[in-house]
Amino acid sequence: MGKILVVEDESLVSLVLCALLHETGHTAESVGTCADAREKMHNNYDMFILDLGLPDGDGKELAIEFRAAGITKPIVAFSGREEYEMEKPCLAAGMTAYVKKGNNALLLAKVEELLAMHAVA
Amino acid sequence: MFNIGKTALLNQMILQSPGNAFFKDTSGIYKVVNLNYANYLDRPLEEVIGKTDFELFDALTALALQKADDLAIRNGEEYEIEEADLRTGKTYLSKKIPFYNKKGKPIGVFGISFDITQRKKQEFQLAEAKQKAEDANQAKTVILSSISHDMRTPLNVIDGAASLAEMRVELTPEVQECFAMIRKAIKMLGDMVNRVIDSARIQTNEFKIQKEDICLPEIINDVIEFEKSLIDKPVIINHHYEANEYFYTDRDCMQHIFLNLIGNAVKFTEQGEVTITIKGDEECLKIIVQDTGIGIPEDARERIFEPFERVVRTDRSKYKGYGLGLPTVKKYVEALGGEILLSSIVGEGSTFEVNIRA
Repeated sequence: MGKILVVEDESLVSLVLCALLHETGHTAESVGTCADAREKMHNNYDMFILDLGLPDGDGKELAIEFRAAGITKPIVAFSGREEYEMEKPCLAAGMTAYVKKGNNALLLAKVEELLAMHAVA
Repeated sequence: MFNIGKTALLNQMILQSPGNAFFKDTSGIYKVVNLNYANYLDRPLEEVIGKTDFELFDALTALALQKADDLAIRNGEEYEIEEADLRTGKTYLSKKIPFYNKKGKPIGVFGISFDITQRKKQEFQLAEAKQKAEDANQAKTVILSSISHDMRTPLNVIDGAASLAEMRVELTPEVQECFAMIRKAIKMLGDMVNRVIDSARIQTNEFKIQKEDICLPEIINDVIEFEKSLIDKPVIINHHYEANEYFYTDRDCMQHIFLNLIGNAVKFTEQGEVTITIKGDEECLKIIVQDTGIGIPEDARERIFEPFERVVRTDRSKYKGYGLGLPTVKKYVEALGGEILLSSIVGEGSTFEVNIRA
């Protein structure tokens, strides 16, 4: 059970994702821009799910900002780009995990895993 | 080298030559020229004889011509050069041949030139067209890859909405059947996207080999399970594993090699078996994928390794695909320094054999 912020500019994707998170017992909110994400980042989220290509910036850069601002909670990259090209840069930017779009079950499993890990830690 | 005793013959050769032909003595004075050359200079024949290049051309051109003549005489060798005529903008292919008397003393230069402007232009156009075609092909690959990436977004929505519906709707057998179909379609679409991206990546050489010890049975089983889930005809997949469990190679390459070879074997087999045999030790690996499918006619056996080529080019209704699988396999196998062999009997089946080293 966690409070999750989804940063995703494609409304259908965030709509479905938030509904899935609700359905699996979490609280989810969504924003579509980096600017809105910055405003909300200190609202005690347990996790962030970030798209990489956002209209006003890059999800990777946003993660760097979040980390610089003292956020230690898991940040998951959720993108249509390939793992082999994006996973390493995302992890280097301080993100916790990389999940490729197309399979929500994988993302939900990753959410559970990270929340459990973080609760223990 | 020619002998001055053959002057008459040389004169005839110059006069009859289809190009611009002349003979100059060692002082650079025109002794014999043909009509073509006089026409080229836009002067009557007799006005050219007895003159030097400095009287017929601008100083810069004359100097260049003199230099070319000197070179031929000094080196004592025939000499071919492409000359650009600044006055007319034309290009000439010229040959200079030095002449000597019986004592070996130079007496002059025989020259002949052909107007190759048209040919040069065509060569340039051809190179330009080739470059354009290559650029267009590259652009097409990049666009194909971007479209495929973008397709993941709606695909993700469909997948998510299906999961959501499964959670919220009462799953009667009829509804379950519908979800099974949606799941299968998502899997197919996702697979298509992956294949196109993969092929684009390898055709634009945007990948690096990263070798590590990988567990081959694991990869093969995953691929076989995946392919089995898509089979809707009486085809069974067998596999014989006769190699070490671990092999030092690139995981991504191996996955794609198996996925494409086994996927193809299944696709082109209406009924029967697809048999995968893995042999080898820690140094060498042999992968054999054998099917009882339609086979590959001899005239297509080289072509099908080229992108977008298929055995049957026009009819896509029976066997879906884009002709990307085998070219991708070939690129991966080559990237690993290996080879791929193919044998086939039309109507009986095909066998692909891949040999790679650690």
